[in-house]
Amino acid sequence: MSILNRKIQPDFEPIPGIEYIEPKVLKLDNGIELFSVNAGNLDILRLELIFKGGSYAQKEPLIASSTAVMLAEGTKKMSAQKIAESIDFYGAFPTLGANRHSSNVGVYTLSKYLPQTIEILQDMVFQPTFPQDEFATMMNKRIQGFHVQHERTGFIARREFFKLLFSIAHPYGKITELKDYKNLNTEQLFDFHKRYYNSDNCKILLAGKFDDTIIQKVNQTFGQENWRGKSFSEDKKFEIPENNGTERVFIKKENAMQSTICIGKKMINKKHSDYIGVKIVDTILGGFFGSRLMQNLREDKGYTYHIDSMIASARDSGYFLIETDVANEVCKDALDEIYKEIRRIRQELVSVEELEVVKNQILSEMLKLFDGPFGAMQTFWSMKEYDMTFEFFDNFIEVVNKITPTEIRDYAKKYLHEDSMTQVVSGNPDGFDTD
Amino acid sequence: MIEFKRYTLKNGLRVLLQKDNTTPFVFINTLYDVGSRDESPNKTGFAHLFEHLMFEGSVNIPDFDRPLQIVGGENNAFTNSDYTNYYTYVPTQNIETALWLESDRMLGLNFSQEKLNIQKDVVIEEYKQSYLNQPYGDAKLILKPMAYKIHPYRWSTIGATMDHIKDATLDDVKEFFYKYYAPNNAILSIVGNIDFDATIRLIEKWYSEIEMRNTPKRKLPKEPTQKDARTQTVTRQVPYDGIYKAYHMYNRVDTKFHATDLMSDVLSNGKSAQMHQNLVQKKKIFSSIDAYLHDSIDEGLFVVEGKLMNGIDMDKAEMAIQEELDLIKNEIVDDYTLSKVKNKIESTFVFSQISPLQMARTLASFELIGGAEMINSEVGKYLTVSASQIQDVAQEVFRKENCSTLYYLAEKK
Repeated sequence: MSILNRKIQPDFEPIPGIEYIEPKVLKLDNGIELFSVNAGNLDILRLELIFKGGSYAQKEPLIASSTAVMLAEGTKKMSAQKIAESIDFYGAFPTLGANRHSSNVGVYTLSKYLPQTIEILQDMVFQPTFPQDEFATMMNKRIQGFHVQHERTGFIARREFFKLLFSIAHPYGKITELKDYKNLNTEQLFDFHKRYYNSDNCKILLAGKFDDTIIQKVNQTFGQENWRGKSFSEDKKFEIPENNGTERVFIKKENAMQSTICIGKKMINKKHSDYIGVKIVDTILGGFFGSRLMQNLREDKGYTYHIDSMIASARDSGYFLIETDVANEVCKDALDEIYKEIRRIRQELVSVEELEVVKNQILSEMLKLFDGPFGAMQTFWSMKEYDMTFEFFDNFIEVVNKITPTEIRDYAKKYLHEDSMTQVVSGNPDGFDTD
Repeated sequence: MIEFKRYTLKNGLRVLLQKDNTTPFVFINTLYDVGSRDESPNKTGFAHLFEHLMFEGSVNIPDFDRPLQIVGGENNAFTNSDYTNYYTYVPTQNIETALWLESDRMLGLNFSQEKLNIQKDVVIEEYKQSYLNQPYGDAKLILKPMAYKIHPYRWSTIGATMDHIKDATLDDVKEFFYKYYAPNNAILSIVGNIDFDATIRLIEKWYSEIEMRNTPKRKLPKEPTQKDARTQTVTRQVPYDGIYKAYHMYNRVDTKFHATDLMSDVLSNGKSAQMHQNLVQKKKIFSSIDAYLHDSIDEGLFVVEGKLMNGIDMDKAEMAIQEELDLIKNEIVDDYTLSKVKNKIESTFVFSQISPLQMARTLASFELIGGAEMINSEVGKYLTVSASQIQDVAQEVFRKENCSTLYYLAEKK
């Protein structure tokens, strides 16, 4: 038997290329676009209706999300209890919600029960009744949730951070207050539903394992005539505020055992040609377990259980955010180390070895985006809603493979100067009382 | 039917392989048969602290993460009261790096006092982040020692107190490793687009030289039957009162386990469940109510927990819970509801198969308690449960003297 040399890493291969799963597009009889990914070996499906119009379009806070959630609380045919019973009976999992620019109504279901579950969805979308009693119960629950969230330093800090970045005059920075819960009424939900939940405004995503009869069923259910009238578009346009956001805010929470730190700024989004470069900088800094922030603040100093950075897109803007919960005693030191890491990536060249690791992490991360039919569909939509295609990923791979340490430093210089950051600390850190 | 292959190495390492050709990754799951129940009462939190140290360098490899990251891999781990579970996944082509790394840290660890100190700090921050700095976060830390007086389930996996973690020494840690991190105390499960024979050859290559070790036979004290209802009240800076009721129940391989699990679904799984409908939607006594079981290997707990709506009196809330439990004790679950909870078990099982990682973990954890074959027989066991069996377990479990109740009161401002 040969003797193993355990000190040397076995040979390995480059990260394999992505096998894109491009959804099929077809039009239902009424013109709604249906995007479908027929893949996987399990008899399960995800069906989702996406309507243009989310929190950006609402006239008052909470309307978009409450409209979506309340669809399951009663229709002309079914009571809230009956809806819940039926969905549970088929072992399905509904998903209802609103984002900044869209609202969604969906379900995870066994393929064999799609004919039943899709009818429940249809009823919810076509004729919800927004009953008062259920509405009151939901609002009371949400108010309780609001108060519980206010006990979390992470919630307090993030809320303040987005307010500082985008201002409360802009939907991206608008924060919900207690009075908003109290002022909301079902008339507003009816109105929002009327404006946005209609066929003109709808796209449908279907992923999983299905056959033609299921496509036909989708067409029968949502593809007949133009349902629910004409669509409105978001009727108000908001300008992203110009401030460069370098505030430093401290919010004390007496009983907190840790302090949350949020540091970041407004950022270009994925439609911008520099986005991929900044994303690579972000990955080195805080985008994976081996990132510099994680290595420094957790693995080297033990200040925190977790720290990460992210760059996120919104339709009209984007943001960069570093977030962590640290021990109160070391909060100031943690801040110093975070800024030191930002400075370092702006001033020093990344080593070839480190860059190699980061490249492979990014390529592997991309491979994961296309793992399974649900992932592939979600990835497709994350492009489609920005009017982008999978070309973005080809481009990404090319940039990742070619980028040099100098270019990385230049991206950091251009976009991530530590003096351009907004900082929020919430908690009970040592040495902040005099600020 | 989920097909898998079993293989055992001479050193006692049990291997389970499942082919899944839909993923470009291979998932390598290593379960060690050691959890917080194996800790000594004055050194709690150890199994979990140790899990952190497993990433701090092994006998031949100073850094676990980098070699994995460079091949596009990721990893993580968790510890519970029964076992410690590590997983690694890499693009399929690079499986050998994962086996090299995993086998080396089974062979032996090599970390410094300094790294131990840092990880103690990290775990203490985890303790705060997950339990102490969360509203209601310490409830489960309080509930366990109320329900268990003798059995080691009385402390939480994170540790009974942060002091135990602070006091851990390098010698303690080394001793723990040699006691439990042995091939004959581990289960390796791999799921991905793999060739069985080639994978077994690689496993033999990297694991066969690791020697079998003497692992102490587990002798845990049995928790004596609870004879009187227990209560405790705490006051915390939270916005609303909460209530937690914990009942002793069956162990994981007891024939009544499945009926008990279904009973928790009847009570609170999904918006249509009995307790949610009655207590949240209709009577509006709670903003949330949940009934779930700790599916631990030894005799576990059935917990009912709720957050009270503003202005509701605690006595009234507790009585309302009692009425729901009496209902399931006194009235047989109707056929529709029984089919509903069984359908949900089936669909949840199908959906769980989306994740090869989940499959690898499930195979290993079933192997631990009675054989990986359970992956194909468990759903069937749920389907044969009758309504009267659910009623029987309700009557056995929901007895006043079997219950520990924690009143978690909001500090008046």
